[in-house]
Formats: sequence, C-alpha cells, structure tokens
Amino acid sequence: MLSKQSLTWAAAALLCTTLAGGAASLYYYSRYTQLEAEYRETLDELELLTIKVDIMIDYGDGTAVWHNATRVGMAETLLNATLQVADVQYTVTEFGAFVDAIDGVSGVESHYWIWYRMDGGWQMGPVGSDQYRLHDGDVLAWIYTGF
Amino acid sequence: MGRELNATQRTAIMAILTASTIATNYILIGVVNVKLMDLIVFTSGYLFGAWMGASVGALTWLVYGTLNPYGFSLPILGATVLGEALYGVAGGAVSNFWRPTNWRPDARLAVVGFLLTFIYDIFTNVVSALTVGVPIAVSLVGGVPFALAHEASNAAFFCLGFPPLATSISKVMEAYVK
Repeated sequence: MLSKQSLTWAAAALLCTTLAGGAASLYYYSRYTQLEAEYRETLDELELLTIKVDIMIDYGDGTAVWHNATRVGMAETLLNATLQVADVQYTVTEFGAFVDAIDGVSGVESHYWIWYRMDGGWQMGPVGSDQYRLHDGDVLAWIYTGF
Repeated sequence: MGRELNATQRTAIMAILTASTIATNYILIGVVNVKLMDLIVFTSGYLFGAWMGASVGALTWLVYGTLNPYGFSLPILGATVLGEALYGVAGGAVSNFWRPTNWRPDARLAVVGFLLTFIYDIFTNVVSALTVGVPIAVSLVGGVPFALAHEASNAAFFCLGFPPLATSISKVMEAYVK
C-alpha cells in the first residue's frame, strides 16, 4: 500500500508530464494551424499564377486517357502541358514541333498525332502544339489519327 | 547552517555563489535555456536560507541580465530577477521539511525543478509578451520548445545535480567556516 506522501509525489510527477504534454500539444496544434493557413495561402497564390486544362489522349486503339484539371503555368504551350502528363517524342522542324509519339505509340502507317480543341465539337488545332498558348479551362485532345 | 554564519561570512558566500552562477551562465550562453543557475540558486536557498537564495538569484540576474549579448530590457530584467529569486525562496522552503541524511539522486527533486521552472517560464513569458506587445497566448505557445528545454533540463539537473552540489558545499562549509 502506497503512503499518502508517495501518492502526492506521484500526482506531482504526473502533473509535470501533463503540463509538458499539454504544452507540446498546444505548440504542435498551433504550428499545424499556422502551416495549414500558409498552405491555403500558397494555393490561392498558385491559382493566380497557373491555369487548369483538360487533356485527353486517344491512342487510336480504343483507349483514351483524360488528364483533367492539369495545372500548368499561365500562357504555357500545349506541347509543354502534354509533356507534363505523358511521355512525348517530338521533332522540331522549321514549322514548329512535330509530335512523333506519345507514350510510345507511333509507327502505324498513315497515322499521325493530331491535336484538337473542344469548341462546340472537336476542332483541329490551327497551329503547332508548341505555338498554341493555353487558356484556363481549355479542353484539348491528342488523337492518333489515321488518314 | 545559516544561523552559524556571521554577516561577513554570509556576504562572502553570497558573492562566491553569485559569481559561480554567473560564470556557469556565460559558459552555457550558447545553449539556450539550459543553465545551472536555477540549481545553484535553489541550492543556495536550501543550504543558507530563503533570503540568501533569493539574493543570489536576484544578484545573478542583475549582472547577467545587464551584461548580456542577447540584449537588455528593464521590465524583463525585473521579471527574471523576481522569477529567479523564487528558486531561492523555494530552496529555503524545501529545507524546512526535507533534510535527508544520505544524499542521492531523487525523482522528487526533478518534480520540484520542473514545477518551479514551469512557473518561472510562464511568469517571464507573460512579462516579455506585455513588454514587447505580443499577444500573451502567442508568446506562451511560441515559447513552448524553449520552456520545455528549460523545464526538462532543470528536472534533470535538480534530480542528479542537487545532491552532489549540496553535499560538496556542505563539506566545504564544515571544513572552512568556523
């Protein structure tokens, strides 16, 4: 049986650990809320500096992959945005960049990677993908098109 | 022990203990909030009475708080002087009811050290916040890591350091103070 004095000291020791634990919890909660606020602020600032676009890649074999809400820098080109979401091989010619393969898909006779923009329906890209500057909310597609 | 000393001896002991405390503070100046000062002040109060302990604590801060590379602030100096004196008073109070015959590390001293330091940290952080104009809650929460380092180190110092320090000073007193 523990004496009253021993119990008093045990209670005092527990008080110490409670105070230390409570103080540490308070500190880490404060740091957590502070960092969360900073994270949200950074996201808000990022929203002002970046845009979101949807990019669909149709591999021509019935497979199509959507990369929705892809965040890219303001006025980024479609080619660079595509490089963010897929493995792209391209050749730079005097007319601009020509995409040879996306995710290793290439080599089918009379098939080419053509990009399209959703504007009431899929409209073929008017310029090379390295010339087209993206806008917030653009919906674009790369389709392995046969001619 | 305090009743056996005359005024000159008490003054000399106070000066030696204060000098020792200040010296250890400067030695450990790079280690924030980890100091032997509180232990020495507490021990002074324990061995020579609350008044002596409080005096050693107050004198230590009057020197260390004035000649300090981290800067000088009168309100904060006042708070630290008062807070440090608390260790001395507590040492004197503890000596009234706790006089072990055989000194050895004791967990109860860790509890005493922790709680005294907790009170000291709360008090000085509140005064610092009021002085600087920072919200008290911000000062208290922001100071938690430093406070915990202070409290944990003092708990260890009091538990492990008080017995040998008190024993050593007592032996010196027995040998040289006639």
